[in-house]
Amino acid sequence: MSSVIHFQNVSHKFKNHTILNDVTLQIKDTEKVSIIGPAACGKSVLIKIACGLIVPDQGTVSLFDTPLNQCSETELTDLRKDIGMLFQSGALFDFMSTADNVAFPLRQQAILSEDIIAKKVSERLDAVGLGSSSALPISALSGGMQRRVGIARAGIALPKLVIYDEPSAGLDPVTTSKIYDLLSNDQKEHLNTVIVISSDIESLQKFTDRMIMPYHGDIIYDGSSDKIFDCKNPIVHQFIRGETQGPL
Amino acid sequence: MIKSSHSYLFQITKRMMQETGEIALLIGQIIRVSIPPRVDRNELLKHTYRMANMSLPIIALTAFFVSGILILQSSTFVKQFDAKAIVGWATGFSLFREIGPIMIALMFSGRIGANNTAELGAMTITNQIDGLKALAIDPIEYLIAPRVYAMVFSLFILTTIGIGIAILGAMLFSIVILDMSYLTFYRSLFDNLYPADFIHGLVKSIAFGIAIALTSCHFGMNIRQGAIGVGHSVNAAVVSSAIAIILFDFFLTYMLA
Repeated sequence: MSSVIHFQNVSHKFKNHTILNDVTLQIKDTEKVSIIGPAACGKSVLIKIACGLIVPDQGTVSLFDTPLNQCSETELTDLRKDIGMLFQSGALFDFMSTADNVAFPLRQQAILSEDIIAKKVSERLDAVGLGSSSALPISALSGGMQRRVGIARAGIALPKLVIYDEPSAGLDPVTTSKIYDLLSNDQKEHLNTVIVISSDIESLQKFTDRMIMPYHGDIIYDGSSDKIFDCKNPIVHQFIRGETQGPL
Repeated sequence: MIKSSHSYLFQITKRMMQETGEIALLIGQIIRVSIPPRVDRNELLKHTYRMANMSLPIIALTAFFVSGILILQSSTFVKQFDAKAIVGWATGFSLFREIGPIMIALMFSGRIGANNTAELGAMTITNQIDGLKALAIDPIEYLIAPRVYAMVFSLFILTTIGIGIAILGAMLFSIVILDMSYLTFYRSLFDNLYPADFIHGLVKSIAFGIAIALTSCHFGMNIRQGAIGVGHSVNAAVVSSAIAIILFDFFLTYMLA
């Protein structure tokens, strides 16, 4: 399996706050990985560094075996054509309708006709339960609905790497299960690499094979999703059980 | 006391140099997507139409009444010295070369520049710019360059229309207030002014358009403090645009004189 993301001795700080401290990490093709951890522990920053949206202070980051520090802006844009991403804040374009947001990656590829794009968008919106909201502006949708539009947009162009930052935030348990089923079916069908950032340990254990937990700059857990409950690290232990007593 | 004022001056100078450097980088990025042209055509047309349409009523109104103010202010002396023969030339000269371009640019900056900064600022704090990058869309190509070209072109067109309206207004006010004939105004205007006077104003409008576009896009893309930062950035963009317009006006007047 080839490498999709490769961090080599990567360090990054925000002012005096260490986000990553000499981190070496590899995510391979077709892997299903979850990144967990308490708020502000650097999960989203880790992903933004991986996509070249943030340049780290030190170390080398490779995306699809291409070192990002050697890429021009145009080469970086070409690499990102193989990425689909759901941002924590949704990052939906408020100057477009719901359907136009979902269709945007396909329109930019300029490969498919408008009829096929419309059909794909309709299918995708149906899959996230928003078939009847396609014409609505983004501002008319609730937070949970916006998240589902973001999920539909992230995967519609069948990218090699899909990153979901908090896909289940603001969703009820039934919709959460449906969304993870959709992500799972997509991954089985297209065999892409999926990275999910979430604190929903139960759903992540079912969906992903590997869990990574950054904390204060270090990776304190990187292993099988099944075995995380056996981890002896007190921070991991407390976090996954949601206990109030402990180092967190 | 002296030390703290030195420190304040140092901070201000440092900040200004930083902003200037960032605007220079933005110019470089716009040139990068312009040669060969990779600007999103749909966005360019959409923004040009929207910006020109949004500003036309306010600019027409301003231009019309500014010409009225010019005639009113000069009316005492025109009547005192019976200088009706120079009214057309005087208003035309000041409107073409100075008052027209600068007034319209300042109105445009307040209307479109501020709106543009707020829009880009809101997009920045809601991660929409990062969203574009993550979808392999170059924000300079898709968002910034179309807006910059649209603003420069819209201001050029609006200045042409605005000066036209101002001249018609001046003619109307001079007939009503100064009891002049249409022909006297017309002859005074066209016998004494040259195309170079009009072109002088249009060259300025292009320079002002570039200044407004660059400052509004720069401050919109560089929000520093979330939602509060949007307000600060809009304020900074409008003030910087006004300063840039005055400075450009001074240097262009010196060079084109």
